[in-house]
Amino acid sequence: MTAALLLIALSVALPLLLALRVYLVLPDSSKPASRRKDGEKCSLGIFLGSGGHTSEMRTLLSGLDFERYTPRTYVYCPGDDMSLKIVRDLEIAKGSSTESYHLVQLPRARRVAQPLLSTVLTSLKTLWVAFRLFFLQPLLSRPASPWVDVLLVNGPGTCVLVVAVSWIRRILGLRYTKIIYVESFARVKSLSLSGKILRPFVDTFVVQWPDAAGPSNGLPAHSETDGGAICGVGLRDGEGNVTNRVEYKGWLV
Amino acid sequence: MQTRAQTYASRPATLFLTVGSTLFPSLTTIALSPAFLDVLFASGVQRLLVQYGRAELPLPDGVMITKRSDKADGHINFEWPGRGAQYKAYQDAKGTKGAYGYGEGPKMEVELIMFTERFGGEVKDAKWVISHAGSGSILTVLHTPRPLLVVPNTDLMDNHQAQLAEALGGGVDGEGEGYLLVSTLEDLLDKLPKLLDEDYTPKPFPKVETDRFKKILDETAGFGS
Repeated sequence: MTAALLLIALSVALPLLLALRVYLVLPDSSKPASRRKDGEKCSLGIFLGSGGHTSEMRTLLSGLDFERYTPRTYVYCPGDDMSLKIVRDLEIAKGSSTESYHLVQLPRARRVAQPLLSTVLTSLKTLWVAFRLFFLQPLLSRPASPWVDVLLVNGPGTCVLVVAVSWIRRILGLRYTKIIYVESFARVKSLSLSGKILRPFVDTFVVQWPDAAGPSNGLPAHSETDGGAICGVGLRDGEGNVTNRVEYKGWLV
Repeated sequence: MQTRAQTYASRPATLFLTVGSTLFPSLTTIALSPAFLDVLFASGVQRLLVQYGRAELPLPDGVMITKRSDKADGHINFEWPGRGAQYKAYQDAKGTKGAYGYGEGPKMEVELIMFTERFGGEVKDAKWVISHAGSGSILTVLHTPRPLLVVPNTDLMDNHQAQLAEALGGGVDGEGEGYLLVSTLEDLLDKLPKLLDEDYTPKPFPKVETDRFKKILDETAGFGS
């Protein structure tokens, strides 16, 4: 009897504690980022979402200092030869050494138009592979640091699982991966599903149109979008509290 | 073997119509209608390249197929004669009836391809582009740049593509101020002359400012001031 009660109490308390922990470590944009010295290296994880996602990611990466952001780990889904070609071309154009980047394959969580039930199964498989690749193996080989210092994602679905696994260290209070989500240039007045899901969980959430995350406060309607002078749009809930910061610096692609 | 790029080194004035990887049969159907082909030909288009994806192709009556690929790439070429051309009825070995224009005068070359591996190259080789509202295609064309007319696919469940086309088309300012032209399927014939007009100069699309994302990343990673 006591054991049963204890079990019930635990099964209620544990999820609550976990939720509280997640809430406590949700990214807070008012806190300044921990500083790095100019000459320091920073490892970068890049999720390649295929098609338009990868094209936009290439443009984002093209302006970066690859000497600083090294090594780079590209995560791609099987069969996505286009993304592989884009990465190789980009790395060649940047004159990188082959040791400065590597490619990691992750099974796709959901194919286009895949039914819900089988999506659950494929997602679990993806989650397990991601858990091994991005949490377990790095923990065993280098416990002090996360699999990458910064992770870049821009959709679609599978990237949510990579973010979820990257969150484990944050929940455990270990040094963790900072995450940047860049919403597609295609989203003018609404966020994509991955964007909606990930918004509270990423350190920097970037949109490319001022109203993409909903009608914004403090921004002139239909502002000249190619100026890019406006940044750090505070989004407000019903009571006018700033709920989450959304970065808008004009078009990035 | 010559590549297509070499074949067209002399560059006939080409209009490139593309549906990307989407299914957009209503656009390709209009693009192969006699009325559409006539407007193009009359406006000085010498070559029409249609990337039609997986759509069924209703070839217009009265065309002579000059080339049909034996591979599964769905590559077909035909010629479109100008108005007033004479037609000759024919029946081919498979029993298909048709007619082809003959006689003097130039013809517009029409080339149909299912997909292309060199999308950027086709855009560069073209003088004008008509596209579905996919952001990847739009970005490529505007960065090249070429005059662009976008036809949003209203059959899509999510209408965010139409919002993108509208936003880039300059909605508020009205005609001629945008980076591109937007048209519905119904208005396509009326919008064509504007696209093909030698005097049409779209608002220049800004080059990618790679510094913007660099700063965002540096800030998140903790670099800089």
